[in-house]
Amino acid sequence: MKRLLDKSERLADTASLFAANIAAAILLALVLLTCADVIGRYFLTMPVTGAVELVRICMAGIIFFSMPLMFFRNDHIIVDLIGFFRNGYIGWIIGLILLVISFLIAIKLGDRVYDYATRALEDGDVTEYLEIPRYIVVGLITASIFTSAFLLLLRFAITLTRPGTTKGLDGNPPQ
Amino acid sequence: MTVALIGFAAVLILAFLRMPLGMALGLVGVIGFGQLANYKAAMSSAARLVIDAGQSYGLSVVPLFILMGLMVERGGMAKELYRAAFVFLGHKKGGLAMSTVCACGMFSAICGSSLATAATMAKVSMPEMRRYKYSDSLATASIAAGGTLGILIPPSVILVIYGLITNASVGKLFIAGILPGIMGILFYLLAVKYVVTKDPKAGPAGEKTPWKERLMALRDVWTTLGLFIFVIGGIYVGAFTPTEAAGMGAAGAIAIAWARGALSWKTLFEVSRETTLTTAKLFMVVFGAMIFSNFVNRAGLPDGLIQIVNSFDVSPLGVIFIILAIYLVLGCVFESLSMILLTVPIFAPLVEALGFDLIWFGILVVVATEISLITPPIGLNVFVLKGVLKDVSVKTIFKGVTPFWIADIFRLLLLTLVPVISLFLPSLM
Repeated sequence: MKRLLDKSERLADTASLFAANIAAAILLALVLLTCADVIGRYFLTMPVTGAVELVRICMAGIIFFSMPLMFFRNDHIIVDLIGFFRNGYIGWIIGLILLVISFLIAIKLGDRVYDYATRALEDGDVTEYLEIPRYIVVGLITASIFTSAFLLLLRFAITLTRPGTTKGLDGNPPQ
Repeated sequence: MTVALIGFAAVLILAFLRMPLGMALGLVGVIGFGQLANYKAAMSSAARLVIDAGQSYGLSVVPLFILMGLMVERGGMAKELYRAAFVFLGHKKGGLAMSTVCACGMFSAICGSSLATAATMAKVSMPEMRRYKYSDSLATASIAAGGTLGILIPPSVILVIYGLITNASVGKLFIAGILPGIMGILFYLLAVKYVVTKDPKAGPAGEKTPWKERLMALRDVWTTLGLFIFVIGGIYVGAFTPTEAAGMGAAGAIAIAWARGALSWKTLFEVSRETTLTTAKLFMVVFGAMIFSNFVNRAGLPDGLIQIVNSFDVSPLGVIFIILAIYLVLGCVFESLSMILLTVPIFAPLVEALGFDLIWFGILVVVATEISLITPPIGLNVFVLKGVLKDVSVKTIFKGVTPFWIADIFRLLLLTLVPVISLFLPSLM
């Protein structure tokens, strides 16, 4: 069981790293897009059509493709003030409780975002200029939140097999 | 209002228990809103906020400016900025510390993060200051204090997020940060002067550099400073939106790093990934803060505060001083972004109701936050330095930082009493 979880940990880390790489590619595309828009507007009198829409879609891509890796490595902004809550059995127990709470929040939130994605699909909701279906982006957000929830569950199972340590809850990749 | 205060306490407890801050804010926000209205509405509103903020055009400057800062850092431009400051100031007593402060100011002009500024400048300036036998306390304090300028001198990620919360113009906030930022550099230079006047051994003078070398050093930094002028100048004259300026700035920083041979495809991709992860982390807190802000507004905390202020008959400026005092106290225990996200949604409506300009208030908040970066016991910049310079004790850095901290308090006081310092440049836009 422990070996299976260790393998799953590496696999999940690699998969979420791959998603984060997609986010990185989208970021570079965003840089190109804004440059093309400015250069097109000032030098060719031909700005990129629907640039604002594309920027918004890129933003969603950057954030939500990175989110699974952030959740899996527990790489969050944390007020790390009291060492007592960080290490040993206390840190381990608190870590487990927080993983459960985070999982529940993600599931609940994902559920509501899913409703919005379904509604966007049913209504045939599209963006203003490029007429890109909105359910695609909201669907990506839903998938990202549910994937993060699944990874939180996996992290919970892995942490459970390592009593008294907070390895894997420190923002670092698995060894 | 009591419900909101309970919620605020709950966030603090959860945060101290090491719950991710965004989660703590979001959880308390949803439960609080659910108690006041109903849970379905609370969840729907939270989901809507995540969908909308996750596709915010205004916030797209965040990853682009982070990318620009990281590229500048990897491109090795900090070294040249330091050299340019050194050739002009290095021969004065305390000149290397002064050079550090100036280089931090210039580096801040292309990097929106205080921690990155402090960490980068520590690697560049500390070996030089050690070579000239500077006292550890003055050397480290000049880096820690100089680094704080990163969040005030534009571009600044904190100002972007402040702009989002208060609906203030990000362009105007950026421009408003320029004069207080320059003032910060001048005040820090005075702090260095004071230290070396009191103890000349703390910062011996270096050798004078001939004018030919000075001009050559300036030539080395023109691309970096040109990038700043292009980006911020573009916003100032209205040629770009902040997002476009950030995109052009990021592209410029990539081009400069590439031209210097400091960038490979692999590094470019690694830096981009680091940027997206940092962005996701920031956005988690932004989502949480917006959900929490919804709750405190619904609970009537801002209105309650206005009523309290009216009932106590405190002058409007007195209220500002109380708020700033709260920031200085909170800054002792809270990280800068968390502090702003937690408090601005509560204080901004009150400040606006009192008739103050939110651009001016934003600058005051950021300067107060800067002070928190060097205030014990948390003083994040101090701990970043400690991480880079393992042989210097935290106590030594905090001791050295005291004159800079006092200079900051004077600056905050001046900016509060003379709003035109912050508002002059935006008024010309």
